[in-house]
Amino acid sequence: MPRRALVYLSFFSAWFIVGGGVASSQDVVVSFALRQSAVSLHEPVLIEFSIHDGLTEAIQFDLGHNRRSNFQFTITKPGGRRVQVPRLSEGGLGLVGRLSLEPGGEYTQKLLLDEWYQFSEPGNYKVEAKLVDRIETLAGMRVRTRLSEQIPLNIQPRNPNRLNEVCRSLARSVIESPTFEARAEAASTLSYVRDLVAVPYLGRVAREGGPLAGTAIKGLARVANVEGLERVMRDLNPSDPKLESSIKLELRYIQLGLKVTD
Amino acid sequence: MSAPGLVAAQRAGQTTIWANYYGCMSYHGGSGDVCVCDVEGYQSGRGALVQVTCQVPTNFRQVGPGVDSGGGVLHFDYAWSSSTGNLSDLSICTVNEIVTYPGVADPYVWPRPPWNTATRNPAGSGVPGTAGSGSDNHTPGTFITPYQAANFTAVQTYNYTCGVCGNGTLYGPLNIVRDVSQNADTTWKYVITKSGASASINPLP
Repeated sequence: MPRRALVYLSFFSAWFIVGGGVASSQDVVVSFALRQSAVSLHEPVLIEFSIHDGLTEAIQFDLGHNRRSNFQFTITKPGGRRVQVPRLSEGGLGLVGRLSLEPGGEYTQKLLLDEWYQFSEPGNYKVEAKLVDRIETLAGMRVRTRLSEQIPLNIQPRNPNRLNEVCRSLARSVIESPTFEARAEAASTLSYVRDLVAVPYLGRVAREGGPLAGTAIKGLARVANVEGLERVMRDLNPSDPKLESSIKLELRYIQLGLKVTD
Repeated sequence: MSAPGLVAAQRAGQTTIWANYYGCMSYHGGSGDVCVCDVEGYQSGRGALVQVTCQVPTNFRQVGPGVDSGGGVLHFDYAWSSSTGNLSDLSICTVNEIVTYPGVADPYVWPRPPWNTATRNPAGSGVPGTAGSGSDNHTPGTFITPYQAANFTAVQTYNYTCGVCGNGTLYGPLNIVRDVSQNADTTWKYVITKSGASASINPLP
């Protein structure tokens, strides 16, 4: 199992622009850190985003709709092709993205990179991440940041035992975590494991996960989009005509490229 | 009861919980550190009245006017409170939107042209109840030429789901009207309207 390694994607020094000049200041530190620099194929790729206000005054920033749409990722694939991944949709009801930090404060957030990009083959990748909106003081003074650097991500060959362990842990979190936020986060992460190994666990969440059943059904449809509906239904035990019907509908949405909402 | 001594509420209401004891009533010292039970018995305890109240989101409100946030996106901010006064009590709740499009077809295909878009019908999304606030964006869809005049109305409600504490409507119904029409100079424009606010793309590319 890869050791957890925090690899900083970027380390930003911030400075103020005052009347066209540059004033020295303490730092606003924005970082994107891969939870693990090496994962097996189809394992979730998690990034920890953090922003620390090292200034003597408060700052404000906008993470975008649902605190995700203002993140931009560029992936360099094995072989060198560079893909600028589309930003996430702005539509529907989501968390407020505009946030502020007091001096010395820190905000952290997990990002599931699989929501933006599907890693479909093993190999060595490079990931660039960026917050596209500006950071300002409450007085409106802009805090400049640089574009991120590339950091390496190693996608190792598919490891069914490892995937099984990850999915089991996520499914347990969906059912047993004490807060809805924790259960929803686990369900969402599990729903992006586009592998047949995830099917029994997604099936369990679809049956026992209450309000998170819909998330599991979307996950089953994502697997069906890759592996075929028949194989997914075969691995869902016992079979459930109502569940199959829901998965078929979600699969149709995926194949039509439909957004979740308006 | 899910475990000895642990009771989980199934719904709001009131009940009396009795705690009784069955076991050793008196001991005497045996050899070494061993206590030997003399008398086993049963002792009825006291009952305690337990009131279970459900916590739900309340006071759902629009914060400020809707704004045109650019690109034809109409943006709203909303906030809510908890019936207990403490947002953290809403940990089992989600606040959701449900948007229903004309007719029963699922997905709903927006009039084509001018749109090249389809959406789930109904469509929905939500946030944890503990957030206390949310933002809602109504996007314009994607367009296809040659443009034609068209419009449609979707109906939106905001509601909550709180597990054993049930569901309920918080706000709505609200009409979301999307319209594409031609300008006097033969260009085309898109306008979306909801709750007295609007956003537009004028002219369409």
